[in-house]
Amino acid sequence: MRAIFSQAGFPFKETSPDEDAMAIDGDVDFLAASARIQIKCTSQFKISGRGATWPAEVHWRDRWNKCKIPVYFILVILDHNDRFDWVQHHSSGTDQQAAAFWVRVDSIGSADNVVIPKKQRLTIATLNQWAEEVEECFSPR
Amino acid sequence: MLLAEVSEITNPRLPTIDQIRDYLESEGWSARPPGPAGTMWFRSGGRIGIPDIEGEDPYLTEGILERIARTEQKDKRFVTNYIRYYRTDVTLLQAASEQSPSESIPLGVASTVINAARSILRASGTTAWSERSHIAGNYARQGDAVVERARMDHTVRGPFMIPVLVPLPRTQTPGIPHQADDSQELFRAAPEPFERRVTRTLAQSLLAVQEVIIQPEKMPTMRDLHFAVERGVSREFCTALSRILEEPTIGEFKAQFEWAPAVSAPKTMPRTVEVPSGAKEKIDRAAEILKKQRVEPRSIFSGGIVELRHVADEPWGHVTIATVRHGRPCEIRVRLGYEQYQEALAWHGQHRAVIVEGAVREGPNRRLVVDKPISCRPIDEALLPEDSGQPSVIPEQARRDS
Repeated sequence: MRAIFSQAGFPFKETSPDEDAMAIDGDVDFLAASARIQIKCTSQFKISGRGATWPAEVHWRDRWNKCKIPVYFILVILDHNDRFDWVQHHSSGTDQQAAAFWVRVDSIGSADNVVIPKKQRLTIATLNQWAEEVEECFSPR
Repeated sequence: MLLAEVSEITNPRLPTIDQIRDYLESEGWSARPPGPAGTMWFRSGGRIGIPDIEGEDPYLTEGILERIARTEQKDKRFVTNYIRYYRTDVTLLQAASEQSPSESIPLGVASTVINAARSILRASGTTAWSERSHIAGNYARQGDAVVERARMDHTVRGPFMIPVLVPLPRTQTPGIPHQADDSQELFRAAPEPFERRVTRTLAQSLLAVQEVIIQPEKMPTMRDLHFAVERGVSREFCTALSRILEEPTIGEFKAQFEWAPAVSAPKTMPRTVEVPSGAKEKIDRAAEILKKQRVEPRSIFSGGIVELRHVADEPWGHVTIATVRHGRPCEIRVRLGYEQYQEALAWHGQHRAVIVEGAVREGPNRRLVVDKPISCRPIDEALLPEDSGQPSVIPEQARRDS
């Protein structure tokens, strides 16, 4: 995750670890303002699958809905069940067998699940899109 | 310490979002109409989105401060402190022990200093409204209102200091800086907020105690105390000061003033005033005199200069002082000879308050005027090192000047 953010030139700042040990909250600093992100990591889906849903806990939804700046939920999918296979070290470098997908959740309302479409793969282009969305929410509608 | 060199700031506390907005608005940033998340602020070379957040959000606040620091090319720690105290006058009170410096002080000493700090501020609040030698329970409502709003900040690391915060109100337009044409020269400035007047009175009273009561070899006399009372010293002020010095472990009491950057402060006033514990006897004597014999201020008033006006070729100029008279804030126009008017221009440039002695009359349009001032000098004048002669001589000097 950090690699993608820093490749795009936007610093990622980890905030406080959530009560859920696998959840990390953080801010991505765009030029004029920040966006909030929540990351979940799982190996129960396949990277090649169609989409994923993740239960939206009530206290998350409350926080997301209250947040004025964009909040993105990121699902990192690890394609192996054996965690020793997640990181592949080989002579030309280190590969992670993982892919990240995202969805904006700050107006999720009372939906029980976060639905993450597989076409929303997190890439550098995504961060440019987020940067625009952050800018937009400071402009009159 | 608070607005000090960046190297001295270790871990500054964060300002609120309201304080950040106030800073941006006052320091030349301009806001676009708000969007659903908040407002975008612009200044040459930068733009910052300030979200409408409820309560505190340290991560967002840190991010905003980083962006301001980047745009203004300043150190983030400096910017953080600057914005936090942008519209707050801070008086740091320190009771220095004779023993080796320590990270803590005896509870009794802390309690005495905090209590006395409140008494000192309260006495200054009243004498800032109207000077008097003995308050005797008749505290001014306006002064007490400032004390009510005063706060104590977290103590600062290092020598044990108690920061007393006096928040200043947001003032109206800063005034017309300078208007001049061939026929007339006119300067106009925003009046000093009363809250600032209270802390300034506290500062100049401490200076007056030092100059008039402590420094001379002899015990203070009635005549000397006139000078002190006109600057804000009261019996109550002296008694509170004495209570601090009474603590056996205290070697010296020190006050340091950090003026809020949002409101121009007198450039000539010393940043720190120290009162040694050995001065207690003299301060007690002064308190006694002030109780026994009422020292009534003469026809004197003081305050900041809000207007300077000179009509071409006239041998005099007019200086308008914002002050409090008969329990009402007002402006008094004083006529000065051209030479002294020129001096007043310089005082105004240094944001020095002035003290005027002279008969006030009601002129045209119910304007209060002093046609022939006996004296008109900066209030901190005799308190400066280069003028540390005989303070009581000042009025005569001024008389010769005018």
